[in-house]
Amino acid sequence: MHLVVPVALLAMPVSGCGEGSRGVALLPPAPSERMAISKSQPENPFVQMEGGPLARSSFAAIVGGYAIEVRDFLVGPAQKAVSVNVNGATVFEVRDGMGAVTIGDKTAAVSMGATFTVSEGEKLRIEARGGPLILRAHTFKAAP
Amino acid sequence: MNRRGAVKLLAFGALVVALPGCSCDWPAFRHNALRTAQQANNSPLADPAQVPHLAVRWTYPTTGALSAFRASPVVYKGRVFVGNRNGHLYALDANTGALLWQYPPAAAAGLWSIFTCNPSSEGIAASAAIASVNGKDAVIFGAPDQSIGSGLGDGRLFALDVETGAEIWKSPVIARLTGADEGDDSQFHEQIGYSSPLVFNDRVYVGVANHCDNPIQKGRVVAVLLSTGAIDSGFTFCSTGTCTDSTRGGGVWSSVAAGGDSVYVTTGNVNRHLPLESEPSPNRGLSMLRLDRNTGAVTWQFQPVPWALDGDPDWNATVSVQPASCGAMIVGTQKDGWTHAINLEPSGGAASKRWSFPPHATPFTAGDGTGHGDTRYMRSGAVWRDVYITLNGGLNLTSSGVTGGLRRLHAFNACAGEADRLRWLLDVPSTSGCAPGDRYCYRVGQPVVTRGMVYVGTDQGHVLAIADPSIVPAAGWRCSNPDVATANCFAAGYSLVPEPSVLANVALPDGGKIIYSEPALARGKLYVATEGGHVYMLSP
Repeated sequence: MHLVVPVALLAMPVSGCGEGSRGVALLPPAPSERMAISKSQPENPFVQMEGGPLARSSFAAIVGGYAIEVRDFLVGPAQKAVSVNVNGATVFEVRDGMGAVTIGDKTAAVSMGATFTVSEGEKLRIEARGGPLILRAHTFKAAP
Repeated sequence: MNRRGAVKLLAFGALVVALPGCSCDWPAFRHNALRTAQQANNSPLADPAQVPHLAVRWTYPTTGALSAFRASPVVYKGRVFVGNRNGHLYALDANTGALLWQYPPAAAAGLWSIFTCNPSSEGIAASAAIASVNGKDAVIFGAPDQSIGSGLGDGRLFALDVETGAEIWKSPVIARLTGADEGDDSQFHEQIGYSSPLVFNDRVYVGVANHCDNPIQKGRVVAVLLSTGAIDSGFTFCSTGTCTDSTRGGGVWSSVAAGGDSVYVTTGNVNRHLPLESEPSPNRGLSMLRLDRNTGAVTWQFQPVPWALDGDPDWNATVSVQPASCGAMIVGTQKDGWTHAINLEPSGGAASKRWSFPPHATPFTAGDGTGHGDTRYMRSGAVWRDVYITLNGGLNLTSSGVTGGLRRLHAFNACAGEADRLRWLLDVPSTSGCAPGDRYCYRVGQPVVTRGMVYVGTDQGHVLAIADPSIVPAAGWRCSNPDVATANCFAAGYSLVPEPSVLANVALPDGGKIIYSEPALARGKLYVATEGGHVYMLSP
């Protein structure tokens, strides 16, 4: 009773003009079949790498004898730990989510805002925990 | 909820009922004192069968153009009132667009400041508000005026008779302008700017900001008596330190919202553009605040971006008081692209956050992977019962940059759990296209809503009508993270959300931007003012 009366009164001035004071129901989930796909799709989408994370390249340049590439990796929470071939010395930033990274035989928990480095040739495995994990990788190597 | 809390909410509700939230007109910026931007009355603008026929019915002026409109129209008893960059307020016939009067008269100079730096300081930048002053219907607005104070364009409020344009009162100086030398901190560079007056009970409240942070000023909220325009000395709010000390910052760029015994306001930056060695105390900058409506005393403060991380993410969008079915909350989007909802009632004397989107702990901390700069989320959102519609940086805000959301509307379920927070997502369609990677090429303005039908302007001069999927089936489904293609959405850990249908996309003849201003929905008609210098009336 204490809750019902105040909330009803609060709702009156903006929804009491014949529309009723009830809330708005949640929308039903996406249908499992014959679902219309939105035309709005990302300009630079993540693409599934075979046996690895989703990935996209957002910048690549060859300058002064160095090849520099900026890539994003997305690991879904349902994926097991995935291996990533960084192909060059790489600085990683965790841009969203949390998880664990294993570099060689050392594992560390990471969360948004964390940074770590991976040397060329080191093995890297990434695991998302509790939700998607998105990493940005800045890779530097000698130009081919 | 304990008995005391329930009684407080009951009192709040009773007071709120007195607000003009049910008006078939559009008497204030965001329609009402709650700033919900909602027209709850039924009309053809809410009818999905009629909305596709939306078209321009009249234009003012019919030939030529005025200077840019940044203020929005308000509509009351068959009249449209809107201020222009040229410093004149225009009263138009709502049915025909005919000019009824203007203030100052056409032959007189407009209300103008000698210190102009961006649209906020040019002529009349904020929307007017309708009130009853001593039994007479009045239109109240803020503007610079060179006839008082320093003679340079101090800001003040004006109350005019809605029928004749005759002055009822003019307030004393509210925003001081004592010089125009950029960066000179010995001068006052205050302005009313984008803050639209709030008429609430027996007072009018307005925010004071500055001219382009050059230098920044002490943010303030000023209240004047509705009956006379005299400043109410019993109400004081200053964003930093005391109202008399030399600390600066926390400009009030937004319009004050109201409900119950309180008013709600947001504030700008403190630590940016100032060579400060230490944080002022108290520091009310970059905050959403609940203030006592009689005294200005702070009931609670929500400051998600602390002083040390201040990269100029002014909180300059006006917040809404959302009387949701799960309890009242104050909702708004900060300039950094984050939307925050705060419970109306404090918890233990402090602000009680209900949710943020994207989800994140607040206050933000150094090294948490977030950034907080001047990224232009300056538009207010709209409330439709439990739904809040707004611009937002999106689930890719930290991973992909913040600007993509400037042309995207998010609708949030304010009462749902985190998994169901996002109701729908729409990239507002562009007609001329954007170059790949040009994320500033197409932006949307301030949404308004009537019974689930959302209207919004764009900076390409379009007005769109967008139907909540509960009233018109969705056009399609997309991933809740805009960077992830639909096919990969579940595997990436996100959910599919509907994309609402666009029922109308009207290109206005002048192509002028509609991003500072809002459409006004009154009695089945939509009124909008553009930066191309026209006022348009549209109807289905």
